[in-house]
Amino acid sequence: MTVYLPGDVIDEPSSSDSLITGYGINLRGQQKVSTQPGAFRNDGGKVWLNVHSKRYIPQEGDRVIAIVTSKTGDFFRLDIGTAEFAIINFTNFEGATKRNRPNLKTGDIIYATVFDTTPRTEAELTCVDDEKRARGMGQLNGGYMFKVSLNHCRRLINPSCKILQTTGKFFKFEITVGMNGRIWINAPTTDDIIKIHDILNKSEFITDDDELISLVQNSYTRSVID
Amino acid sequence: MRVQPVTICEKALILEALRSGKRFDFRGLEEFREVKLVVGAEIGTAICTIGNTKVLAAVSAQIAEPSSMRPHKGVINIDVDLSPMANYANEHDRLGSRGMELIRLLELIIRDSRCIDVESLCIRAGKEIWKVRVDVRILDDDGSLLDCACLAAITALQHFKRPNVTLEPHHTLIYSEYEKAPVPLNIYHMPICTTIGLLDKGQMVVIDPTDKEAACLDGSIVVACNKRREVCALHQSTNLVLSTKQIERCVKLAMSRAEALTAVVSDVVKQDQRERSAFKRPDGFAITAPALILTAGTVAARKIVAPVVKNEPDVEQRAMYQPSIVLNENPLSVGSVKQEEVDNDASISEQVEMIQNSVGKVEVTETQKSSTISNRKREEKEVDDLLSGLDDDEEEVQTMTLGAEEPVQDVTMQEEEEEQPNLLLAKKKKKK
Repeated sequence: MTVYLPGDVIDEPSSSDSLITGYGINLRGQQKVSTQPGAFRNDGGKVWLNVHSKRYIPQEGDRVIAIVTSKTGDFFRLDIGTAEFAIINFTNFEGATKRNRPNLKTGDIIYATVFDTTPRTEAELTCVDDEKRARGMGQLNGGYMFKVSLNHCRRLINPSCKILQTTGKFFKFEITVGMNGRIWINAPTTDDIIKIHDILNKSEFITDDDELISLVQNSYTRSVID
Repeated sequence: MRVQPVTICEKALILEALRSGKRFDFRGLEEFREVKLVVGAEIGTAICTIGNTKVLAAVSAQIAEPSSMRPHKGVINIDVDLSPMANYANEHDRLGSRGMELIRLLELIIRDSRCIDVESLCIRAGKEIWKVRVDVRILDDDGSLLDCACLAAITALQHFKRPNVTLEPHHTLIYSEYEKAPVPLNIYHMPICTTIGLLDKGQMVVIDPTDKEAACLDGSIVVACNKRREVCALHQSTNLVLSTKQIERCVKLAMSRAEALTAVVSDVVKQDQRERSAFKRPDGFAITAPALILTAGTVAARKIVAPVVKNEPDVEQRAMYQPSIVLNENPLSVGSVKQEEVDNDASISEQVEMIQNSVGKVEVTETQKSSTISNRKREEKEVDDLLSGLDDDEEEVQTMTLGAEEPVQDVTMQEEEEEQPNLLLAKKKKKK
């Protein structure tokens, strides 16, 4: 397990002939050079770096949580945590027509897919898939949203991760994870929301199963007002 | 870069929670976050942490010319750097409105409240004074920025020691720390700030709000006071109209906090002094690095045996140092140099005595109207005072300033002849 800093040349031999370079590695001629600080991983023919980051870079196909900042013409302007704003067309919502516009105000949040990241233009999102169905996307009502690192988001979505399952055994809640580091949770009481927020923040650094269970248990029995 | 806009759901939930007395970090409405204070290996540096807010302060001193309006007063300058590292809404190298507010408040609290004796910073009236500069760097911004910055600045000023100087007829001798022990600043009191958030037009009070909470509240008020129950500054950045009762309540809360925090600051500075005089190597900021190891969180990550979250060691129990590695070893002496702890109260009473003595001797000095001859005489008097004061090892510069302003004592011309051999003796004594 080696850690590379930007500019380092990676000369680990790859296990198979075909080489697919992933996140954080650029190919310069025959050399692999790292562009971000991270831990090296390889799996078959794929090499990449695990980078701890908090700033999101739009990738096509990612599902993100976006905040509505303004309405201009036919578009909503959204904030997804990148340097530039992103946009979404009014018609890219389920059941939207030119007459029937979605009812979003500044400050609302939506769950959408990034579908166009042409360089030097604003990223464009959509709340429907190719067949004009929402599939879980759209406006998120109520609840609470907060930010964590990108790695933690990816880990939470991973099917082999036990964090959400363990939390689900104690609490009843609804969760949406955006690839831009934003998590939205909703629960019946404010106390529950506060506790789940605490669990999700602290579980970033826990790898041991028993510790995870004890963390969730403690949060469940703890009272919010001390 | 832009700041992330506050969403409707966040604001609604935070306000709902606050109105029922709950907060997202499990604090009560009137509970403060934990304060951690560390002084650095270099004299005059300190880092203060309140929750996630981190501020670094560093103090340095330089000799400069005073302004013509205040020839016997030293100068204290404060510089604040709000970097994008703290909050990505800040611009690099530019102070936005927040930065200007912060600088202005720090100046108000540290300079205008007269907590530092600026007259003791004068070397030669009208010619040379110490210019003390406090650099405040915001490392991380999560609410209560002024509290943290003020605490860090005060601790750094308490920790700081300026070089010792003596006055010669034509120049000033500045000693390095190896020749003469540096002198701490004269600090009268320690103003401590408390940020109090206000909700519902001042009906509800939220102590020490985090950045997110502060964005949802109606406004905030900052109260600066010291442990002697004096209010040093009051500031409000929004337009709320508060009643007297509300302000009194806030001031009460701030008073109790000031007492507690003053004790912490004195503890930290004293402990550091103790360690330095026992020649222990100061750790500096090494203990602020938390012992976290980040895991990438994938299945293969189990190959690393990662110790999990360790709490930061409590500031007061600094048991991790390696003893007896003398770094600042005095190359001149045989190891007999020992930094004596300067007792602030004793030195203040000493100065008061001096002032009282010299006040009685102030007479209209007509002899000084003749410029050149009297200047020479004055310098002679300075040298005489130097010689008489040389018995005390721990020479304080305060005596020099008073000596320069002391009027002509009844000194006859005979002393001129004695002067020459005395000067030689004096130089020999100084080298010890």
